[in-house]
Amino acid sequence: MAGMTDERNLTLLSQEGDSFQVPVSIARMSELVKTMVDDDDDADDDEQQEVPLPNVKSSVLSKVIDFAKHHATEPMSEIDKPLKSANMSEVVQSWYSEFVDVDQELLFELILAANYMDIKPLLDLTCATVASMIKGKTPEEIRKTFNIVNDFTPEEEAQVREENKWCEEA
Amino acid sequence: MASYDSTSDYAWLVPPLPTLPKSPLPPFSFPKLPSLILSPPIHFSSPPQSQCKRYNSANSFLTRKRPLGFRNLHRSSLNLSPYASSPPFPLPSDLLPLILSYLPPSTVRTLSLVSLSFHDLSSSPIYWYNLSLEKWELPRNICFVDKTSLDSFKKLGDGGEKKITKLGSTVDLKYLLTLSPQTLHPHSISSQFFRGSNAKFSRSPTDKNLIHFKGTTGIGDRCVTTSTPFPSSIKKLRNNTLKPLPKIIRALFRNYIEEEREPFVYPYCVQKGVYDISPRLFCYFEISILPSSSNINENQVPIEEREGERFNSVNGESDECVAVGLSYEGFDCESKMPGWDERSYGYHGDDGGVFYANGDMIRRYGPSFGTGDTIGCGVTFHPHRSIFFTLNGEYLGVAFERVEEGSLYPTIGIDTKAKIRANFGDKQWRFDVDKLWEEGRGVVEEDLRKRPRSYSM
Repeated sequence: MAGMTDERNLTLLSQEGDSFQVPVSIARMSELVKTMVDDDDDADDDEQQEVPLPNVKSSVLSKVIDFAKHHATEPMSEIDKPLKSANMSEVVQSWYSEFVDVDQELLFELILAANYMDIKPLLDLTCATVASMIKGKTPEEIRKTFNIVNDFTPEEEAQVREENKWCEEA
Repeated sequence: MASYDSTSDYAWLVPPLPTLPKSPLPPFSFPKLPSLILSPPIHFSSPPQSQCKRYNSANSFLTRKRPLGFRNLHRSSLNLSPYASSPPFPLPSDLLPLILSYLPPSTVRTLSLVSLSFHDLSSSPIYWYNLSLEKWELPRNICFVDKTSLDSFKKLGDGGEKKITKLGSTVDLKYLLTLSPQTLHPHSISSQFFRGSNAKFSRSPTDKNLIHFKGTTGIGDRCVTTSTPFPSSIKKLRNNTLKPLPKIIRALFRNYIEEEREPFVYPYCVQKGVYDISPRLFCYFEISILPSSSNINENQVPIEEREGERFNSVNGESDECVAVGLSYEGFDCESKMPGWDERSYGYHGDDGGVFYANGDMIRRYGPSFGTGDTIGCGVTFHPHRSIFFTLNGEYLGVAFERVEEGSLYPTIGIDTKAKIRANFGDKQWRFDVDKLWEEGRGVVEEDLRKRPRSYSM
C-alpha cells in the first residue's frame, strides 16, 4: 500500500548489541543504512530489518538518532564557510547548537559516527563545531582546549613564528 | 656489528610515518623497520650502549630532528601524510580538511604555531588548493606549476621537457597565496563599458572577454580598460629587510630603491587545465582581433584556427584601428586612443607606432596589425619598469623604459567592427612568457630566499 514503507520501523544495532527502533524514513538519512536497506528489497515485509552498526556505541547512536529525528522536522540550515562566529548558536538553529554542546570525547565520536554512517548534515555540524573551538583563539588557547603539548624545539618554534609573522604582514 | 650498521644505513628507507612517542628521549624504543632489513635476526632486548646511541639517533631522525622543510619534501599526495608523531585530533586524516574548511586562512595559519602535528595540519594541501581556486576564480581539477620549486626545471633548461607537478607535491600554495596581490589582478574588461542602453560595446554572454564595438567606426576613438590595474609590486620594506642606510643617502638613491620590486603570484594558463603560479616580475595580457564577418562560435573554435582567415584590410590607409596599451588612473576612455596623453601608453595597429603623451607617434615600433592578429602587452619590473609588446607570439622589444610610478590598467583602443578577445591569462597566451620569466628567475629566487620560510626551495 502507498506510504507503507515510510511507516515501517527498522532496528539499528549498536556496538553493544542494543537495538534501536527507528522509522525507515528517518534511518534512511544515513547513506550507509540507506544502501543496506535498498539492497535488501526482497526481504519479507513482515520481518523487521536489522542493521548492525558495530562501530557505533549506544550512547552515540542514540544521539545520532535524535539528530535524524529532529532533522526531519526542522532541517539544519547550511553552515557558512568560513564560520561567521565562534559561537555555534549564531551559526545554526538553536536546537543544533545545543545538540553539539557536548564534551570533546562525545563530539569526536559523533564525527566518527557521522562519517561511518555517512550523514552529511551531522558531519558538517560536528566538524564546524570543532572549527568553532579553534576560531579566534591564540595557539596557547588552542593547546589548552584540545589538551595538546607544545612539542616544538625552540629552534623550530622560532622558525615557525618567523614564517607566520611574515605571512601576516603580507 | 655489521648488521647494525646496515640498519642505520637504511634508516632513511622507513616511511615517514613513525608512531613513536616524541618527548625528549622517551623510554628507549626501536624504530619500526621493514622486516627485510631486520634480517638476519638481531637480538633487541639489551643492545650495548654504543648501539643504543646509534638507534637513538636513527629514532630522533625519524621523529623530530629533521628541519621542518625537510619534512615538507616528503609530502607527496593530497592526503595529509602525518609526519608528526600523532594526529592533531582523534580523527581520520581525511576529515581534517572538512574542519579546516570552516576556518578563515588567518586562523589556519595560526594553527601552525600550536604543535608539530598542527603545523602539518595547517599546511593541508587540499585546504589551500580549494582556497586558491576560490580566490583566483579558477575551475576545479586543475594543476598548478611553480617553477621556483622545481629543481628539474632548472636542470632541463631551455627547450627541455616541462615537468608539470600535480597539486600537493612541491607546489606550496599556502606560501604562494601570500604573494598574491591584495587587489586582484585584472581578469576582465570593466563592466562599466557594457552597462546601460547606450553602451558602445557589447560582450558575449558566454565569454565576458569577447567584446564587440556597436557604434560607427572612424568617428572618434574610444578605449576599454579593466577595472583593476596590474599589480605594481612595489617592494614593501619589511623590518628585517630595512636597508641600513642613512636617510640622506636613501633619498639620493630613491629612484633606485623604489625600482626594487617584489615578485607576485597570479595564475596564468600554460596549457589546458594547468596554471603557472611561479612568483614573477612581469605582468602581461593579450588581445586577438577576430574577423567580424565570420560566424564565431567562441566556445568551440580556438583563436589559432581562426587566424587562417587573416586578411590585410588594415594598413596605413585603413580607417580602422586597434591599439593596445596601458593607462593610469583617470585616463579618459571616451575620446582618445591609448598613448595620446600623458596618462597612457599604446601600440597602434594602423601604423605600427608607439605613442605616449602625444597624438603623433614617438617612433615606428613594430609591424602594423589588424584582423586575425594577436597582440600582447606587458610590463616587466626587472631591471626597470618597462613596457613591451608582442605580435602573434613574437617579442617586439622594449617600447618604453623606466615608466612612471602609478598603477597601470590594461587598455584597448577600439575603432573597428571586429570582435576582440582579451586574454588575461585564463587561456594560454600566444607569446611564450617562459623566457621572460627565466630572465627574472635569479631576482625572484633571491627575493624568496630572503624570506623566512621553512619550506625548502
